[in-house]
Amino acid sequence: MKNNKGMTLVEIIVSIALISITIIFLMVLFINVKDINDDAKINNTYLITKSLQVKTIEEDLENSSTLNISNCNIFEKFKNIESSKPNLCIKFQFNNNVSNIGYLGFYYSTTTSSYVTSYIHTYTDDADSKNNIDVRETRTLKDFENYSLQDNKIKCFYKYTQDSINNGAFYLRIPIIGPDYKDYTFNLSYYGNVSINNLNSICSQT
Amino acid sequence: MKKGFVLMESIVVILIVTISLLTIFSSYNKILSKLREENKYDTTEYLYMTNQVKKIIQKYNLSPSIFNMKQPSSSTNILKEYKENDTYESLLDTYNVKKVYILSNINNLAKDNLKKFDGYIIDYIKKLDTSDEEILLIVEYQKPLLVSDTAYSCNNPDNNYLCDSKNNKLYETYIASLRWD
Repeated sequence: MKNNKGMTLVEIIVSIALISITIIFLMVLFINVKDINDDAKINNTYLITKSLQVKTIEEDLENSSTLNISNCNIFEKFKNIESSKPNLCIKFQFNNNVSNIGYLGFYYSTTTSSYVTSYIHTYTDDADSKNNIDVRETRTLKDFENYSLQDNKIKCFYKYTQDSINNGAFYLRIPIIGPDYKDYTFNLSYYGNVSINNLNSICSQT
Repeated sequence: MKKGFVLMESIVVILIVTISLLTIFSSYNKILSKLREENKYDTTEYLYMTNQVKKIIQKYNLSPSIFNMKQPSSSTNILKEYKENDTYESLLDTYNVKKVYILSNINNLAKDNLKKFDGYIIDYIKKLDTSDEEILLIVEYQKPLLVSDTAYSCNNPDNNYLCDSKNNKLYETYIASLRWD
């Protein structure tokens, strides 16, 4: 009588081979998903930090009925700056009040050894600053040079369309690449009473 | 002694393995595309920009009619293409506004209305969850990319950006909406 119990060696080998192929596929899938998930985590962290920063600045802009925009000396308001590396400083004066000013700075921080975006809003000339949020970015010099730096400057662009005296639409754009090589361009917009002073020395008008 | 497999056994095994691999592959693609989705809808900056657009529309008192998505009609109120007031157009161009819509009954998108809107807006509307009474101001922005790298040129079939072949410029589309009070 034939004994049909058990499996032949060939059947076992084939089953193991088929299961291995399936498992390999699953492993590749999980590894790829994990890598993308890790990238997404970094991306979200930077997006959230940048969004908070933009929100802070935009709220200050919205609360102001008049806005004077000019360049500023980055060493006056920000600390621990690597002076040999490019930097950018934009000043927002709110409601024509010399004591109500926001400073937006992009510079290389000696503390973090990376480029940093920082915003300080001062209510009086020498009082405590409020809402100082840093977005820390690290990128290779090569990428920064190719994308955001030109002639050793941080790129900056603005558009201003006037519709009546001292009133118009203002748009500021500063291209930034994060350490994950993704785009974290800074976009700021304002519509209302605007005057622009000496911004052309640091930003190109488009 | 039994050697090898009968044909039926082989066919069944191959079928089962193929079906399971196809299922895994399709979920894999779905997961990857979901993870790679970039954030182009309702970003903080564009929400504030949409607020500026709203101020401009209200200031110029354009009194736009509200397009009811439930009822197909012969014309779509696309404010950006409203040419009468040049100042208004150039103001909106400051923010790279491509199209402006004011829509109600967004959840009841009539089929005829699909033809009047581009893919980005349809995709965006489908992701919204609004009540029927809510009227939304939806603005579509076309942000130009300033790149000199040839990888981003119009001729490169690998780039995923919108291309303006005439000016060899690339654009990214962003959409944001606010309640139209």
